[in-house]
Amino acid sequence: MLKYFDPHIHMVSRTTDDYQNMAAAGITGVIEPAFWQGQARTSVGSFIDYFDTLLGWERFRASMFGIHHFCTIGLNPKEANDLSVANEVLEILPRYLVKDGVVAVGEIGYDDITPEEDRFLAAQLELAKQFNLPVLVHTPHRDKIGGTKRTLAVIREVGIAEHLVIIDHLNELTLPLVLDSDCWRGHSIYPNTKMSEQRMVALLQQYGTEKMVVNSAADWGISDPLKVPKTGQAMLAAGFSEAQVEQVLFHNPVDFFAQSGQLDKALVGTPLPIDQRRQWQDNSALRGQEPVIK
Amino acid sequence: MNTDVTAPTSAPLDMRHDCLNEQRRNFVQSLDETERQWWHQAQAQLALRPDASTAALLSSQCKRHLKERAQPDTDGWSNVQLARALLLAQALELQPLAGQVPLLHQLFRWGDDQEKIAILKALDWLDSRGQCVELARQAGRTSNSQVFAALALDTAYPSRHYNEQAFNQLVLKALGMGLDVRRLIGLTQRQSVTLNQLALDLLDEQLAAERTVSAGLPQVIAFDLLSPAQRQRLAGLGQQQRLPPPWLERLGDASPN
Repeated sequence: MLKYFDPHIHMVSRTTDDYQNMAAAGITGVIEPAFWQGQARTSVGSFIDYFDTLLGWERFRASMFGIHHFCTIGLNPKEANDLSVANEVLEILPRYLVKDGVVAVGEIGYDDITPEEDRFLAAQLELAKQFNLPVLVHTPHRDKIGGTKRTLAVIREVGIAEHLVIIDHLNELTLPLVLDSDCWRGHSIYPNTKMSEQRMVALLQQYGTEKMVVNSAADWGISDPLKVPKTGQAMLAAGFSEAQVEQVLFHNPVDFFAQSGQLDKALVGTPLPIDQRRQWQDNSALRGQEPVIK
Repeated sequence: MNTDVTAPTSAPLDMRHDCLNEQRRNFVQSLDETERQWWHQAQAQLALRPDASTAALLSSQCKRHLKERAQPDTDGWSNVQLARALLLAQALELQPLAGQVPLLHQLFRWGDDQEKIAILKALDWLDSRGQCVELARQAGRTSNSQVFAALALDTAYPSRHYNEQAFNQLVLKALGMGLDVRRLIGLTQRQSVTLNQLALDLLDEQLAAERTVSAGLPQVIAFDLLSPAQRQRLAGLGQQQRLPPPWLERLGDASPN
């Protein structure tokens, strides 16, 4: 079976069925970027609990299904606009960026493209430099071209090495802007609002596979946690080799985030051993089922 | 319940009292006897204690004491929304002037989405000088299209007080949510070369993705401000039959002689 890695998926919003199906489809590892939760948080404590969940319970839950779970930590652009909370979140980020399992600063970037978003994007790029971590940058839904150009400009202003940055949610119009840089190129295969498997295949045919990364960005919206393996199937159907599929859908994302020193490529290619007898803070994902051990 | 008012004290709100008084008269006339009795009690209770907790409590109770229906002679208000807005206006009128903006922020923060909708619909009556523009922009970051619509449609608040960048973002988000941008008050006055470019970028994105082009996009574009190159590109897309008919009509109407 081909092996896959989904480098952008919000598993706190997904079910155990999703984990089971992802593992069955060959996904051996995921990265869960910190992002907003569908409605604005009103205190820094909500961020602390969320970050702790990404590092704790969710990582444990993934392991129950043999999936390696890593996360990125950051202040998302939407909530960067609420200064009453954003400044406090910025203050707590350093203590999270050094935790086990944190492989990047992210998702950061632009939403409304405001001066506040500028400030927190630059500050977090500086943090990434300071902690020598890769960065996951979200590109906005509105004024996507303007937001992508401005993102590249800020990256250059701050002076972070471009090979440590992945710019995500690219499409036919924004990918060419990023190709002129040394940044990695992220694409989200997400029903209706982002990219489709077929469009992704067309981009790979046109621009090649170098530094090209694909994710599902599955979250609490109508989305599909199997979009990475489905893109693999579409690539094979279009004539790409299995080696090319694994290059884009496993090696590229793993190589990018392995720059953190927190992700061992030799390990994430193999599913974690499963022992569902284990517990996390006396809690289990099982509800009376027979524990799986393999 | 947290009763801290954390927003800073500030200059008083400039409320449109004439407008609010007219709404009050119309609202009371639309009530049946039981509803009117509760309404007078609520007003009396708020007059006695015009604080955030009392206003929030009464706002929450509106739906239980009023049979929800469309409010006559309004732009899409329900009677419950109007009651909530009028209670808020009363509480604001009874505040020390420096406490008005903090109270409005506090009640917005405490409100559920339906209460937020009432506040946003009323913002142009409550704040004619745009002191709460940052609150409005925060509110506009919602993913709830009803809350966003309350801020964006049938109200002049954004066009009166948003800067160009913020107004353009509001327009793009309204398009993204599939709202009827013809109800964006002041859109025509805020059309610009910049908004044209943003709209054409969105068109390109939708065409590249083979998605349906947003129905409201031609309403957003000032066709007479298009550059020759933009006009030529649209004409080319039209010839390839990639644009819906309204585009071609608008393009034809604005053709240079």
